[in-house]
Amino acid sequence: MRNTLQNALATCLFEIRSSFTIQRTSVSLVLALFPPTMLGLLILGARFSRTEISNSILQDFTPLLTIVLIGLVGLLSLILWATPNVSAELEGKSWVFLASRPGGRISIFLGKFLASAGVSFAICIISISLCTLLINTQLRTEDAGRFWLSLSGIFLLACLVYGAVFSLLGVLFIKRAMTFSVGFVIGSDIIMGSVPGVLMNKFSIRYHLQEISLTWLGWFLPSSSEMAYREVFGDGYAVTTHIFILTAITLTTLCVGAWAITNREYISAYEA
Amino acid sequence: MIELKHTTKLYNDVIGVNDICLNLQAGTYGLLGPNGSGKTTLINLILGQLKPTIGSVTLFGVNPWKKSKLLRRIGLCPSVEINYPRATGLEWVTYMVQLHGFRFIQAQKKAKESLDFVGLSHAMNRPMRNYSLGMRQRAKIGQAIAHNPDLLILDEPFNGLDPIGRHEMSTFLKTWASQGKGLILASHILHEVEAINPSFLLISGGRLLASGSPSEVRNILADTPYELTMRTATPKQLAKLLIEHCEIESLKFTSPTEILFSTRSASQLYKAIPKIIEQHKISITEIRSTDDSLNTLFSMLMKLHRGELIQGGLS
Repeated sequence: MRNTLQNALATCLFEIRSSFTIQRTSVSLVLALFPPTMLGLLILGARFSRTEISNSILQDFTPLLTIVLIGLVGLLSLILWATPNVSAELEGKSWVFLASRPGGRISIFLGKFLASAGVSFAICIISISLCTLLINTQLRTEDAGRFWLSLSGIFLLACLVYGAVFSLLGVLFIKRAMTFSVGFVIGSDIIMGSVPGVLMNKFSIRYHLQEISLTWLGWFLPSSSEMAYREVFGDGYAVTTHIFILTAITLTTLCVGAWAITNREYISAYEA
Repeated sequence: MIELKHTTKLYNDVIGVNDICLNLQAGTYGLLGPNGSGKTTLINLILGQLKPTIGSVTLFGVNPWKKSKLLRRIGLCPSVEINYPRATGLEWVTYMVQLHGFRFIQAQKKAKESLDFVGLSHAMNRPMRNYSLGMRQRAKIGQAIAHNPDLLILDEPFNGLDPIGRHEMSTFLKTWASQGKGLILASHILHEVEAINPSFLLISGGRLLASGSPSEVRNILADTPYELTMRTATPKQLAKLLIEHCEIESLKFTSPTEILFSTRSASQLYKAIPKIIEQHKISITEIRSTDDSLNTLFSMLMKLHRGELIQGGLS
């Protein structure tokens, strides 16, 4: 077990070191700067319109918009980093070097999961920091520190759980892992997570993250009251329960992925 | 060391290896076969990277499938290129050794030692994108031997090496073999493997066609029909003289100045040519072999395997 974690960490560090090319760093920077840029443009637009309504709408929508934009780039980064965990090695023909090591397959899986979650979380942190700075200076919100800390915690959980799911999809569907990951987000989080009043939405990752966000950030959903929301979607659990569920999903997914990667035969381009 | 019992590997409807039976004791083996003959599939079966469709594989007495701890005793140098252009040789080999379960400091020490052993210590801190093909080959050998394995498996280790590199590789492999450790050398070029003096495993079309010592393989080669093209101004006279002096199986005038000979005794033919030139003052402007010996050998072995030829001393 200690060896597995040690190897996974070595893989993660090697992956990050050797993958940070100018192109990849530029893509990560563009992703990190996208939410604050969008937010800045919206604030600028509201300032130019000089109406009370636009300012009020902006105040109402800012937290949700921030979460959606950062969530979008976080998911995109995770899909780019986590899903090609096996396919990149098979296509790059480096699979044979790694898989011929004791525990090499699990190291690839866990190491690349850590790298994808780490890089994506770093992108999210940059975005969160810039967005918080922007919101605090332009809209004079209270308690910017709490806002930053809450978002950081939510996105840490999100990166870990989605990173694990996308890594598993990368192991199971080598050729179409990105398509399946997008399909998972649409199917599980957008469709299933939006079904009101039934048990089904509780199986989506989004539901648990949303409940944690509502507790940590306070009520931030615009155009609806908490009471109306609870009538439709029901009461959430305690935050610790949601965190426990997300942790359990992460660990279970990682265990299934580790089992799948060690039990599958992979034919690399070298053998084909 | 390695045992395969009626091992077959199918990739859907394509046969990777076909009903191979082998029992290899510790020693040096040359796995010879044309490209696409099943060498890499066989290596992957031995390493437990693939599961046999039929039959069984044992490595050091254990079924290697999903027994990844066994890999600690193996050093693999695949034929594929290293795909980490930004990493230095030392970083990459250290990482590879770490995956064998060594801590970073220990792994780096072993990596330095092995890179020194393969003569790459002067360039170990340079990114591998700046390495020549020979240097990358050495780095690959370095990662394979750094953890001191009991069995070293090399897939086409001579690929892309210049003559000096080939000589150095041969010397290294001879040194390794002399230590009494296991060595399997997969190649499609006979004379490269022959230099290490291993026992041969000849594989083609996924089948093990023959196995044996170098002398046994030379006997097989001696029986292989050999084709030779000669260019001369007097082809008819040359043909008549060669038929008188050698055992020529067939001949064909391919152009007004060229003759294609087929013989089972190439050495007899080569001895006869200087005498004919000297005694009959015939001018031969060009002699060339039309095929390489290994392809001919494999084609003959395949015919033997199918019963199209009568066997003359194969093990």
